Amino acid sequence: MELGTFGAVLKFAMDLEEQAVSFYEAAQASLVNSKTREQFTSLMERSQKRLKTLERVRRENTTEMILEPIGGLDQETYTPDTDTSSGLDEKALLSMAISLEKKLQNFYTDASVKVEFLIEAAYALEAMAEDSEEAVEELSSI
Amino acid sequence: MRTLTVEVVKNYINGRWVESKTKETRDVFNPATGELIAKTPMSTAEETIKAIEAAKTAFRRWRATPVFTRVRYLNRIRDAFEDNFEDLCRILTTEQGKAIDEARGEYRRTIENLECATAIPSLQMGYNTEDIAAGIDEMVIKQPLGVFFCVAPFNFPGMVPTWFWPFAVGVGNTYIVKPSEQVPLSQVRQFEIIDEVGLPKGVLNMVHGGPEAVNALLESPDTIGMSFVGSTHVGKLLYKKAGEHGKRAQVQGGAKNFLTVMPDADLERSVPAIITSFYGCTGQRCLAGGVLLAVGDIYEPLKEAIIEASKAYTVGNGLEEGVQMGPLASKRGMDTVLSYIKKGVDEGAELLLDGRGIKVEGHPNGYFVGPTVFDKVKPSMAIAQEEIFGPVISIVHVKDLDEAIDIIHANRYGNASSVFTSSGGTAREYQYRVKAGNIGINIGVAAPIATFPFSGMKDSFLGDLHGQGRDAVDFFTENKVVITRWF
Repeated sequence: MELGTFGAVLKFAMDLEEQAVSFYEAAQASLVNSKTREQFTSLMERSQKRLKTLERVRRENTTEMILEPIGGLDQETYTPDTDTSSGLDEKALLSMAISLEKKLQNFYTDASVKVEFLIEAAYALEAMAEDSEEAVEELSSI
Repeated sequence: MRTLTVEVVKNYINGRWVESKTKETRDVFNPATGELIAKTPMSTAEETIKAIEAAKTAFRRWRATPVFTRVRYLNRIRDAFEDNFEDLCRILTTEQGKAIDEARGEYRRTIENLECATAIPSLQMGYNTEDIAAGIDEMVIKQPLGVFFCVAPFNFPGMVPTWFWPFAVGVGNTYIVKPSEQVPLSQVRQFEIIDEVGLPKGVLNMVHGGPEAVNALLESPDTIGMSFVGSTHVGKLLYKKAGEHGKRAQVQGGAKNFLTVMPDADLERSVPAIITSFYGCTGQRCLAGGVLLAVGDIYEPLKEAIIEASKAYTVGNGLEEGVQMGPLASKRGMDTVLSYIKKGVDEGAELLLDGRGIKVEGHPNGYFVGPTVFDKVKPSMAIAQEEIFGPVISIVHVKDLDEAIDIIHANRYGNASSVFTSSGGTAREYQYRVKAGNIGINIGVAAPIATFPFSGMKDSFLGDLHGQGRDAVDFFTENKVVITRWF
């Protein structure tokens, strides 16, 4: 499904972050004390914070004058697989987390260009893309 | 979101929720579903006078309340609106139909109006000159006057009252909001929030109703002025009556806004702005595009791009995230739009895209009309002359800018007009010559922000001072001159 409005883009971003919170919450609970667990907890808290940021960005930046249609953002392209129901081991969870962060990075990078007419929104999404890029590096180094 | 139950909404008078005693009510519908969601009382003159009396009584203390104290209330209301933002937006979409993003845009502007009014300690400052004669000084004090009121429209029920009351109340007046009887719930929710904030009683009041309430407000010797947004027909009647009763008045009427696309326009960037102008808020903006003037060779590629973009526009229940266009706000509004489409066909315009009979899944009773495009429209046709207030693009092919401006000037309205061009010279000529209050240069919806007046000319505006910004402060104050000599 194409994300054709600013609200749809931000709603999808919030859905992604909720998915990330659920994933990291479940994943960290299944791990014993380890660096991976710490990292997952940190990323869960980050996504919780991002949810608040996205809500604020949506609330403060929906400027009616330039609510023009958005094209070229397909929801399916950015939907990650975070199904942990099969009881994955730490390595598999780590791999899933890296894949999730790459999806987030790609989505925020592409979405920030699409909403560049709302500068603060673009800035926030760019920052989230950079954070996810860093998360990929950190997760890969574990 | 709160559950909306079918109830007769209450007036808010002197800090209390008051049930109207009238038996006459108007049904309020969710335009996406056709479901009855509330009833608006047609309040009586007596009830309206009670609100006027409350506001008059409150004025004595409120005007003496220090200006920073007054604007702190506005700040608190602003914060409370932020806290209840999504709730307010969803109520707005539920009663009015607009897409949820558009509701968010409307409430952003609502909050910006409050934010702008918190600058009143500066905006209300007068001026003075020493020694206009030996030992004599002269000053101007911008004083509040008393009780003002607004008669609000159905297309922006959340925002439009805040073009006025935050400025009126901020400078020390007291106020009465008369919401649109078609969409009262946004104001009801706002007043619930305002009540929680605890604005002193009588400073801000709300009376629902129709002609009887409005006449009582206009005829009262205790009201000072009126702000109206609605049709030109009603606006002219009220403006005349306001004059007869010695009131200040600012009347924002109807519109037929022309969008001119020059041959050198950047089509890729212009088309999204153009279709948003015509289809945004389902065409029910006083700043909506009304006629598309295609100049010279841009005509064919513009027409193709408009058709393609129109077909891709998503129509549905405004509460669904991603929907770009909701229903018309009322069945009556939908019927009017449908009658104009028929009229366009009857008058010989070519219907390239027909929005009639659109089916929205799960909403068989909604007031939907899809994007509609007419080509080969002549300036004399009704669809080029009159305000349709719906998602209809009427394309007129003109040879040059002069012909475009002649067509614009032949129309009775002058609310807004936009030009799409890559030429600074053309843009400058357009803003210089075109008689419209709000000009867009490569902008589809030339909506002034809260610090600027919401302008308008010709039959689109009666009065001299507009809503918002400095104009609002001037409208709601009197420049009192004081000349001083001390012995």
